[in-house]
Amino acid sequence: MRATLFITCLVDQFFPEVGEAMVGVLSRLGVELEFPEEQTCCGQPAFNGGFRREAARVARHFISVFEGKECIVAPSGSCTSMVKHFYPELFRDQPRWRERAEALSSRIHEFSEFLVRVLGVEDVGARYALPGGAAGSTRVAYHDSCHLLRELGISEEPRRLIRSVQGVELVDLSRSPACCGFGGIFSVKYPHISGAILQEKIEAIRESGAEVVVANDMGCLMHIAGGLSRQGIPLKAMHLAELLNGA
Amino acid sequence: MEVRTDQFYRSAGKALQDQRLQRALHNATSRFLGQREAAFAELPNGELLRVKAREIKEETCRRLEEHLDRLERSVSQAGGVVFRARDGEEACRYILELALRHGVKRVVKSKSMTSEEIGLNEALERAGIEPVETDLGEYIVQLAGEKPSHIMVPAIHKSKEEVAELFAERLGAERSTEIARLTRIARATLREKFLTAGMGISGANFAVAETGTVTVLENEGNARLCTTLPPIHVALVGMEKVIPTLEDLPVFLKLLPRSATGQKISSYVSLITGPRREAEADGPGEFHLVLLDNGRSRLLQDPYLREALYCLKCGACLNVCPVYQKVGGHAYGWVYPGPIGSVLTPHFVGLRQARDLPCASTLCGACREVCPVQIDIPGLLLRLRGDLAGGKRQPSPSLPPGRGFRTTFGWPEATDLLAPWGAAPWGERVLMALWAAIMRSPNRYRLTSRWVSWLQRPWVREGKIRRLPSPLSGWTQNRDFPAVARRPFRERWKELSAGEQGGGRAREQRGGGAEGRRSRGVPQSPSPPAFQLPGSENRAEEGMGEGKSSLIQQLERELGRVGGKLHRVRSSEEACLCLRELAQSYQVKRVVRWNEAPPLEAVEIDRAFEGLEIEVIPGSGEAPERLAGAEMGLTGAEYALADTGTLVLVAREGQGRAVSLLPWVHVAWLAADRVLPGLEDLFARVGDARLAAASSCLTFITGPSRTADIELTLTIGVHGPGELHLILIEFGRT
Repeated sequence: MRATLFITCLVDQFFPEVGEAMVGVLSRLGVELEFPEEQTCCGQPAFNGGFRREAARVARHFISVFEGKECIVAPSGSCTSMVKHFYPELFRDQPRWRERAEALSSRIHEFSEFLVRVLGVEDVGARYALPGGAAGSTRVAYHDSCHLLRELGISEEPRRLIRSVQGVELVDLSRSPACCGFGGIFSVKYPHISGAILQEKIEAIRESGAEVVVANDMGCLMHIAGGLSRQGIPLKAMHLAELLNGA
Repeated sequence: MEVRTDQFYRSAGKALQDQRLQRALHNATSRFLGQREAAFAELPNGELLRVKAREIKEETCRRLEEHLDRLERSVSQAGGVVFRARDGEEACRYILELALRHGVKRVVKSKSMTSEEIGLNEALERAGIEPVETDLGEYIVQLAGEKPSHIMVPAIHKSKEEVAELFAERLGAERSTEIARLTRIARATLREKFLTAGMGISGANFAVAETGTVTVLENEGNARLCTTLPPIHVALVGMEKVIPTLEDLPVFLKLLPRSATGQKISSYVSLITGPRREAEADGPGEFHLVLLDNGRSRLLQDPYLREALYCLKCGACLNVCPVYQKVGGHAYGWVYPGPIGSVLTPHFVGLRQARDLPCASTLCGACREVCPVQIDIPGLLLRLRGDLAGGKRQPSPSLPPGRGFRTTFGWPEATDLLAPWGAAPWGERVLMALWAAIMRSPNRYRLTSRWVSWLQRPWVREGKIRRLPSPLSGWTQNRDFPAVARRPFRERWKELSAGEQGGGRAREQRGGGAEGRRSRGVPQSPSPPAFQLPGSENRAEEGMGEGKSSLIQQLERELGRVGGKLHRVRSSEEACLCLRELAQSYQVKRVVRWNEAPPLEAVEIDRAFEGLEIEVIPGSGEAPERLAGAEMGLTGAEYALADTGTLVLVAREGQGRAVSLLPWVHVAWLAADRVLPGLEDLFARVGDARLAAASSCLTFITGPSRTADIELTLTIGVHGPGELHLILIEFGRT
């Protein structure tokens, strides 16, 4: 099995360790990976801001980089849905580009979707223990990222993957499908609302008794971790790939 | 209504600081969400119903003019008058002139957002006519001189203490913070208004083109009072509310209450067709349907935004929206709040004026998931953001001039006031252009990354940044920001690919456990649930084959669930005995009855009260004041629906609408062979439109009158009866 990494700009620039973890997990499963170095961003920030022209410019670059790749894997539900669902929409009036975009639609997969639906793997053989944590199981809560859940319809796959990690207990997060309040530029433009929504998510995570909160999108995680860190709450927020890599 | 959409940011901030509002919002939205979820869980083909509803709306809007013409003809045939208002001003003027012509001093209104949209109350007040809002929540809000903050519960922002204070101050009522007591005060005050109003104004949830039937859903009974007691009934209806046929109605009757409050059906559904027929016992002598355009036909021309007109105004998208849950309805600054409001409002007040609204969303998609007509709200918000950033697309040249162009505010083509380059802040534009220039070039991307990781150094502590400069400073108000990694992934990749990919670790593992666990094959996607035909679920579920008795058991259970009571008897004599006992147990002094109510004879009914000191008055021809003095109303019924515990009453000669509405206790009787499984079976019988056309009003009654408008506390008997009994006569049961 060969796959092409779309690492996303956020992981590349801020969270390279997530990319490393993803490479670790996938190569242990025998997936041969390649990383086209010309890749940058999918264009989602501009698209969600209504700047369609700018988004299209970046999207054209993405398409020319990834065109022809058989199978693309990304550690993000929202970037995946951008390419999968919104590229064809973005190039609605440009038939040639739309065709090229549509050719990519079926070939890009979010990380957990790739593992469970494409590779057919639910247990990657990982074990996890909190650094310095007591022996026994670590309580993990899973947060459903909105685009992963609602645009791609993925909710069971990550949970199955988490449950099969040794040393981990998946705990219920109340109102897990509720948005964390990130919303891209929204989080900067309306910080007071974004922060208030986040507060509710943080309360839910604390109530769940989890020691680690896992999600599949670094946007949400950056937002949640930023809030936890500002409030001095000693909870770990991590990407699924890091948990599966037994970091 | 004053437009304050430009103050969204600040109003939201104020709402976030209001602890009591936060609690109220949390309670209301989570309660409604939970109830909605439970209601849909009981409805196995809910998804299919949503698809069906969407199809009906799409199809109707495609040929809207045809349906509107048909609606107009049907209403006229039924003896009503139709007025097509191009804008709010025309609609207000028509209603005002009508009121002045009839010397109306007081108007009672049931909840209508459309009337808020056109500023009807203000127009009436200016003309010296008193508009009285009669929905409990709306009444409270009106007394306080405020505006509704939620589609379903307009006064969720008010506590019972505030309501008590308000009632004491404005109505001179005794101070009581007991919610049932407050509700009783409102009942008494408003009852007086209903009896003396010269005109009743309602909205409508649906208008059926085939029959000219206006459908109103409610729980309190105030809409029934508004449409029954005053001599004139005006229904103010947005033109998008038309649906083609009566057969389309059950789909919506099932979806709307479930989406709004999680009820299987609202307490009262009124199907109103024209004014009172000559022989009928009561009802308004005049019926006017005001069909409002006010920019709707222009919205309809927009190939994308038109789907916003499919909205049923159920409020489900408000409840599920993370932003609405935090900022409440007032922050949105106009009539329509929440996600759907953020789509509709810019159309009415102008995108420039409302430019915060499309942006103040996380695009989480929860609204689309709950919408009963599957409106792609996030997609529409994205469209509007596109208009903001890139300028508005040209209005369609095919649009006839002057039709539906003006808005309430007299701005021609409000949304197109945008400059060709849009209305996004210039800073944002420059940043985006810069960002795109960087992102489309790998070299610039690498270079920028290096610069930033170097520039950020003075601000980084333990890998975090606690304060970002403008325009990103918003983030660090309440969150830390991660520092740019010293070595991005692309730099690490080379070692990774040299090490793991080709090298020992990966290869060692490859042959091992992981490989073994992998099962090759086609990705498994969950198979779609097996759908049933719409409407078949109840029959399948409840097992029609088990016969009548299971149907009656179901009726008993459902009636009990909504607070009604079923009494099973075997003969007319037993039914009369039951009546007598009920009257005694409530210690009533006066009962009012239908003149005709098969299978019981009028004389039989009167005889039932012999020897008791109870006055029995026939309902026809009596003044409403006298009916209102009766403690118990006795009626027959046309059908009962087992699936929802609903009674169906038809207004006819000798069978007045007010008898089941004004007294505190409503007792109805029915022969057991008139129990139907559910709504579809009913509409299969009345679907030929004869029943609807023959009577001015069909009423579906499901339980007693109810409200949760004060602090979401369920209170029974706000306007209509507080007690409901059904005597089911099973002739020949042994």
